[in-house]
Amino acid sequence: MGEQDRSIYSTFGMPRMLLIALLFIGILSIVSLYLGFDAYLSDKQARASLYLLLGTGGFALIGYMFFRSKSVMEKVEMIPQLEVITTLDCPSCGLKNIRAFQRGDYLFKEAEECTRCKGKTVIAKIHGRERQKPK
Amino acid sequence: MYQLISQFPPSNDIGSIFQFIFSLAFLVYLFYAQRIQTMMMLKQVEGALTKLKVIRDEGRNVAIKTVKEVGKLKDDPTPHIDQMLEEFVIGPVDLDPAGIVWKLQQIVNVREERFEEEVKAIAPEASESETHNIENLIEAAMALNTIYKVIRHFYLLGKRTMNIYIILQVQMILPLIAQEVEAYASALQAFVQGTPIGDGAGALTAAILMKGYESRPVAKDTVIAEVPFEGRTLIVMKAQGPGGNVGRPGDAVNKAMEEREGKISQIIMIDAAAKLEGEELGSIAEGVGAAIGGVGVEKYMIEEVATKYKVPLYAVVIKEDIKDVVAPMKEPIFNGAEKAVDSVKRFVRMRSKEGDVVIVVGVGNTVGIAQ
Repeated sequence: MGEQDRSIYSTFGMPRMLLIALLFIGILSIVSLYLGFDAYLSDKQARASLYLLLGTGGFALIGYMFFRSKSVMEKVEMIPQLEVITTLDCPSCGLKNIRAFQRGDYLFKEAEECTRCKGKTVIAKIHGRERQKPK
Repeated sequence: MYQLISQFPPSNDIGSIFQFIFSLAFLVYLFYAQRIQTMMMLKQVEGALTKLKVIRDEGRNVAIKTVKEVGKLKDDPTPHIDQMLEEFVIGPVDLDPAGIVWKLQQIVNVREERFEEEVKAIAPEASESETHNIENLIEAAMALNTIYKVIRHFYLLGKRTMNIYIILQVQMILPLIAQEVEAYASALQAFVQGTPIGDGAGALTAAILMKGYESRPVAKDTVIAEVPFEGRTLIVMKAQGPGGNVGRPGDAVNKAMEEREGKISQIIMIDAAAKLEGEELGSIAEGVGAAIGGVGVEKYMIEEVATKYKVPLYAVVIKEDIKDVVAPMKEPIFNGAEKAVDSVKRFVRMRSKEGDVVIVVGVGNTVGIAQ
């Protein structure tokens, strides 16, 4: 897993050619905007509109290319950590208790003492839920 | 646009230069548009690959850490785990398909036994359940490694040849790959902790039905319990928990049928099934046929024996998203399993009479679910 992996990481971000192309479009857009304002000040409305349209269009294209090149993979969490909840049921007094999952828990396992009747509780439910994001 | 701008003669030198550059850019775009598009797609695949590598490495590290913690091997298990991550299975030849299922079964069984032996070798102190969980954990890490390597293959091939059709194939399926990767990444958490997973919905249904009744092993890693229900006898079977395994439902159904000489009124199979977008998570659907996934060996065996004795096969499925299959079981799926129990009872009431014997098979990985 050595050599080939490094070759992938050598071009982080945008490909060089694409960056050059975007830079080129950017320069053209600036020139176009300049010409647009120049024509506008010289009272050449039609020419001004065309150059301004080209200039803003160029910047919109740059923005779009950056946006489009964002990978769908970026939305994937590294290792999604669901919050796992264990529900304990006391068969003798019916008390339900909920706590965070502990390693070694499994369904129908006899768990800790019931806090009310001191009987043995049983794990009745284990389920995961999305971790609530801190506000 | 080119024609449009030509209609406006340049007013000064900058205008002339600009028009020349614009015309040049237009010509360049005319000839290199596809190459630019290819580069953009490559960029997308590269981004995905970068992330995929991080997740793959994380999977490997989690596997190594867990094996060290649980297995307590004196030597470093890392080289052995790296070798396991690269393991493969070669399927049987299908030029003459007659008898292929048994060949496939032989290969699957050998692979399973070999894998179990290897896990025991790197984690000698692990209990039976922990061994099964480590097996599943390494399998999840293997899946992440395989996905990464396949995507990397197409990426490098596409980059080398600059062939848009090679890159397009990968770029188009990236959203599906992302889902699959997310699922396997969630599986790491589930198998490290030993929590029930979405795929265990069928096994959970069977566990609820057999709760309080004595169970006995019937096939490798598979248990069976006889449960009386309104004058009928339910032969409920599932993989042996709480370790992560799927058991051998094919063998179990065969044995149960042969033990009773085929005098079974129906077979009901419960399994988790992929839901379509828009369907509710944990919803139930009923149908006909053998509800079981995998390579097809178990399904074949169940269908064969059901056909031999002309026993109807019914299916109850619990719907879930692909990313929930190996992730810790979410509450709607747990509730779905409880609904499936009611569904099975209704099936039995409607389609059998008192004194009948019904086989109920809870299919799926039983990690975190005892019996």
